[in-house]
Amino acid sequence: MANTLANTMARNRLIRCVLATIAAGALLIAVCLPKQLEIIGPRLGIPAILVPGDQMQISLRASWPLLQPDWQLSLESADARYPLTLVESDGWTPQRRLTVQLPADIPPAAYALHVAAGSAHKIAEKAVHVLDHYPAEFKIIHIADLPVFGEPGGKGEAQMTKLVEEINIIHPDLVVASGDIAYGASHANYQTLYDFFLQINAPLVVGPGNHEFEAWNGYLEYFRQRYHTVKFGFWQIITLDSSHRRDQLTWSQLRWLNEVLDAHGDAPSLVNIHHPLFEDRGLQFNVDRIMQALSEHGVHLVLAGHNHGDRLFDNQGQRRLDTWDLPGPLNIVTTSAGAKIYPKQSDSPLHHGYRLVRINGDRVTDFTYDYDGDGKRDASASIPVDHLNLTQTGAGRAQLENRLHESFHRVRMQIHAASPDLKPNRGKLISVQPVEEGFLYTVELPVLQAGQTITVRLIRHTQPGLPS
Amino acid sequence: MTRQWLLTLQLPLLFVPGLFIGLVTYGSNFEVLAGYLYIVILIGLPLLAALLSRKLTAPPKPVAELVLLALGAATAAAVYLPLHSGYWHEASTAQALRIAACAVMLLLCSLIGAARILRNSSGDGLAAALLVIALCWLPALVYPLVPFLACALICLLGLTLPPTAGETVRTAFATGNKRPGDGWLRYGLFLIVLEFILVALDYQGETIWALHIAGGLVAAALGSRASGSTAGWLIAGAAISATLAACLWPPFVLHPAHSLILGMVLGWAIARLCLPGAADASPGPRPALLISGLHLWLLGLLVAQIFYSNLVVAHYRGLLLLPLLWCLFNRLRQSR
Repeated sequence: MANTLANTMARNRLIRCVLATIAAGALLIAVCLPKQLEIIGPRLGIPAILVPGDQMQISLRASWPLLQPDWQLSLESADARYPLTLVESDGWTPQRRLTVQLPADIPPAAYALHVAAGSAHKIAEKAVHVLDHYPAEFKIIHIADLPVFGEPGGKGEAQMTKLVEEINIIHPDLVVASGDIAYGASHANYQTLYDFFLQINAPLVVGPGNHEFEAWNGYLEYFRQRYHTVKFGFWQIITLDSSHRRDQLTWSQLRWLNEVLDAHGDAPSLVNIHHPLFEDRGLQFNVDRIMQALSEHGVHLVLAGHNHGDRLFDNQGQRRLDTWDLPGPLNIVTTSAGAKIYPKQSDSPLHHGYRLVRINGDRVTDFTYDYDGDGKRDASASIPVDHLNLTQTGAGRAQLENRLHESFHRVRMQIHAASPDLKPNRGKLISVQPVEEGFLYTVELPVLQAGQTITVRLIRHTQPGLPS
Repeated sequence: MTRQWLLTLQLPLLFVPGLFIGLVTYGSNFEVLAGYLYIVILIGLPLLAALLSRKLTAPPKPVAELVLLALGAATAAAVYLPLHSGYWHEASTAQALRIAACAVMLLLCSLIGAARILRNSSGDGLAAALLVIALCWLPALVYPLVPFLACALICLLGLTLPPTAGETVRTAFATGNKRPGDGWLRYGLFLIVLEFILVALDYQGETIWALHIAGGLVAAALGSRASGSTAGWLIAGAAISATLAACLWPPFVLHPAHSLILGMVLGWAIARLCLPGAADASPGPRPALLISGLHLWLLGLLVAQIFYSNLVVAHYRGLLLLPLLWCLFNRLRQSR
């Protein structure tokens, strides 16, 4: 009797063990089998900006650990594909870092990064920007607190369309977005925003703001990293996350900031952060330590938003209206690019706008705007939106109007035409891309003076000088 | 005995902190239905835990036990699968419902584990279970919400337990197993949990906190083996010192020593609360006390978040030590 009971118990136990083992195995296989792959960086918002032949690091997260897949890596544009040479892979951990080399003959353009391993395939659009050389003189457009998307096709989207159009006309070398990029607890807003960001014809650096936490998973899905660095030649753009529900920098992030500044040595850096460092709406904690780190490492500029108004703080945290040519670190707060404006937070006339930062070598040469047109640059003013207008005045014909008190070099305009074999009557033809209804021409003009209006026509190659 | 302890501890040491990290780090939106569901979970789970651990007079029958363990594994797996390489969707009602179902099932599995721990249980199984749970946190370095998967695997492991012996089946959960000092011990656990989770709140999306938690739980396994009053005093003193140090010099929260000391005292406190003492006249399954005190556990996590959401006042959490210090002072005075 006792033996039978013992046998039955042993058999039951064996059955339980086998069942549990099978279930555990099935569960682990179910978790690991869908071979998912995620490109952490570079990606839109954390781009790699390189010249041909450069090496870059690709940061990936794989759903299956331990395996060493046969990586297929390439950069792809609309009409060409350039395989990347794998130089180094850091082994078998799910968090992979691959070092790759760009082909020496890859033409300058924005590329999508394609990563494939077995059945998994991921694309990061506009992740890599190849330049022919790193310019000594370059311009950055800074935006923050972007338009609020409401109903599809509504006012917010119209504002964003205009903002993207003006950015593409000025054609900066880099765009920096300092948070509050999508308002409202809607994951769909991030898809809409992402589609707009894809239309920007420049490398784009993105950091989070406090409103990103209304749909944080949307931010993480599209932009992945909360804080990161992007290299532009010998410049380093450091993006911080001052938000995460506390409007402060945590100790770990402060430590990370010191580490990346130390690692970058004496080369120039620029900090991109949503909250200003000073005043009521600024960071409330660790400001002295941040300023100390920035001062010790010679950081000249901190670009911020959140105030929904223009403001300039010197390195003592004092508001400055008199002059802008001051020793750093300067904290520049740029007005809202489309969200509500807060009059009490602004030192320049109320407007939606963006800021143009000009850099030459390791010097910041300008970030101001002559708002009232008196010939003197206003210390804290940014450029108002809606004063650069590109109008398609007919097939193969467009007019560019500059109502700003500011001249621009190397502006670009896009012109629609039905035929692909035209050339502009002025300026330089940059590209012709097929679109739904015909072709989109990009034409570069050497200069657009303040108050100037320029009309460009596309003409036939065979009849130079005549309209088509 | 390790499997029983694992089943018991998976709720407070894996599921609850996993849920907390999900909500705090990867998003919560308390203005949508999903958000309300999370509030219901955060309030309802400790209430249900307290109720069930008092009202249940016996563990379920073997077949029911098997079904509950299988359901625990299935719901935990259902929570984790979309999160493995996907995203925590704070506004997803489906995700919140999955987590709610999982919370209830894992609570029942935890109570099954507590009931299965024999009256004369030693601390060996507890220490081994803490080590295994430490291992479960390591993959969170890459897959931050992996504790949910670990809960599923532990429930599956529970299926391999032999059918219950008659004695434990008839054990009432809450009969005569309160000891003097349990209240202070629970308050201590509340403070330890509060301090222990700060590293995750600081690092947030940078999953280095997984190493700190894993390290802390390894230390907890050591701490659970500490016997004798001298070792206890030393460990408690070290924890109070670590907390005060972190209040006075906040970056200490990120130092591995902070997690190790807090982990050690966590293990010691769990052992003191859950293991039967020689003087217990009618020892029941004391691990159930850990489950019935889940509200303090959750409160510790939430208070940590409240303090750390404003770093200017974070060091005031040191004031919470005052009642504990007063109690220790009185004990010392009495002993003299």
